[in-house]
Amino acid sequence: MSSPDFLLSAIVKSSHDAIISKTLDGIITSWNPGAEEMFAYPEHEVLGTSIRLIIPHDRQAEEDYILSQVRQGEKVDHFETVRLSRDGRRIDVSLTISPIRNAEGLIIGASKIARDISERKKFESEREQRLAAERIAHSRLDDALKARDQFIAVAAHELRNPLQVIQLTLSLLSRHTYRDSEKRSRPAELVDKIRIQHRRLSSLVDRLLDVTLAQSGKLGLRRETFDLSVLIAEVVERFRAEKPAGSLDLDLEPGIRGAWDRLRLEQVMTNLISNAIKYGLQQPVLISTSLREDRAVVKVRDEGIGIASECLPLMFEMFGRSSAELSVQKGLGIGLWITKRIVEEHRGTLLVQSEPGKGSTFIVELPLHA
Amino acid sequence: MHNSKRAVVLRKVMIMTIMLVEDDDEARGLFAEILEREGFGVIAFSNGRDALEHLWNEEAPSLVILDLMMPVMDGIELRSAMLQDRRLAKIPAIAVTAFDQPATAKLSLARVFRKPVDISALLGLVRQHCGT
Repeated sequence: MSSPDFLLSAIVKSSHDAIISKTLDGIITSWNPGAEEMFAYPEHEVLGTSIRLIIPHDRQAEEDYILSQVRQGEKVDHFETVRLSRDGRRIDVSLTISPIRNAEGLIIGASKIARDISERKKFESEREQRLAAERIAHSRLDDALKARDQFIAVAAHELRNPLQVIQLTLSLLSRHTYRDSEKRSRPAELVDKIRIQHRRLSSLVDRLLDVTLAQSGKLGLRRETFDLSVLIAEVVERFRAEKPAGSLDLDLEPGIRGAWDRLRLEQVMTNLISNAIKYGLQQPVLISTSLREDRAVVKVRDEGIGIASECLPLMFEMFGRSSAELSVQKGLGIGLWITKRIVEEHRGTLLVQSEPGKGSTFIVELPLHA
Repeated sequence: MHNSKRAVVLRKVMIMTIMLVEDDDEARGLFAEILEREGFGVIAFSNGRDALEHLWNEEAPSLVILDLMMPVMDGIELRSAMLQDRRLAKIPAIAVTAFDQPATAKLSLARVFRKPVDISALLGLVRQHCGT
C-alpha cells in the first residue's frame, strides 16, 4: 500500500462516522469500524449484501433516489434520514453520498458517509418541546395579565361610580342638614358619620387598585405643572372639614411649581396627613413646604406615638405596620408602601424620622422636573 | 312685553351654562343639582354623541364636564372631536373618571378628577373657568 493510500485507510478506520462503499446496485463493498459500531453489523456479515439491509421499510424509496443521483454523477449532501441498526433501533443520520469513478472516469459505485445525529435530533426535539411549553406558558401569562387589567378596569368602574353617587348625595344632604339648623343637629352628625366611612371606603378602593397597578409596574405618571403648596392647602382643607381632634398647622412656601402627577401627589399628601392624624394622639400636626435648589421638600410632623427604631425598616413594606399601630387602627397597611412607590416614581425620596412617644416626621423630597 | 324680553336677555347673560356629560343617571342628576345650586345653568347628556350633536347645533356652553367612560361615544372621543372644531376647541373641559390612568395627555383638559370627585375642588375650578 502506497503512503497516501495507507493514510486514507487509517482515516477511514479511525472515523466515528460510518464510511461505506457500494456498487451502483447497492451492494456493500466496504464497511469501516465506524459502520460496525453504528449499525452493529460486523464487516464480514454485510460485505456482498444490499445496503437496503439498514434502510427502514418505509424509506426504501430513498435508496432508489440516491442511486439514481449517483448514476448521474451527482453528490447527495447532508441528507437527513433514519437508518436501522442490527437490533432494530432507529438511528437519526445525516448522509453524504458521492459517486466513485474508476481510472477511466466511469461511475462504478458510491461512497457513503453516515453521521449519527440522534443526539442533535434529541436536543432539537427537546428544545422544540421546551419552546412550545414556553409559548403555552407565555400565552397563559398574557391571558392572566389581560384578565387582571380587565379586572382592574371593571373594579375601578364598578366601585368608584357608586362611591361617586354616595358622595354627591352626601354633599347635597349636608347642605340641607346644616342649613336647617344653626347648631349641630343629630342628622348633621349622622351625615358626618357616613361621610367619614365613605372616605374610608374610597381610600380602601384606591389602595386596592393601586396595589394591583403598582405590582404590575403600571403606576405610570401623568405630569402637569402645578403649585405643590396649593395642592397641599387643598388637601388640608378637606381634612379640616372633617374636624380632626388635633389642629392641622401649615407653613407653606408659596410658588413651589413643578411637573408632577397631581392625583398621585394628592394621594401621597392624603396618606401622610391621614397617618399623622391617626397616630398623632390628637396633638397638632405641622405640614411645611420649602424649596431646596431644584427640589421641593415637604415635611409632615406629628407629636404622636412615634415608631420604634426596629420597626422603621418595615414601615414602607406592604402590610408593614408596627405592632403599636395594629392596636390603634385597623387598615390595610399598604398606604406607606404605595406612597413610597409614588414618590420614587417621581425620582424623589421619602424618609421618616421618629422616636417612640415623641412623634414622627415624614420628609418627601421631589425634583421639580422629570 | 318689552320688559320681560329684556329680563330674559339679562338672565341669559348672567347664567353661565355648563355642559355635563355623564352616563350614570344618578350621578348626572346629582352633579346637575349641585351645579344648579351654585347658580349655573346645566345641560346634561348621557353620552358623547348626543352632547356633540348639541355642541354642533346650539350655542356653546362656558364649560364642559365630561365622564371619560361612557357608552355610544366616550369622553375621550367627544373631547377629541371638540378639539378638531375651531369653535368647540376653545371651550374649557374638565374630566371625571373612575380609571387610574386615563389616556388624557392630548385632550387639553383643565383637569382630570378621579371619582369620587372632591366637590369643593371641582366647584373651585368651575368658578375659575366660569368667572363667578
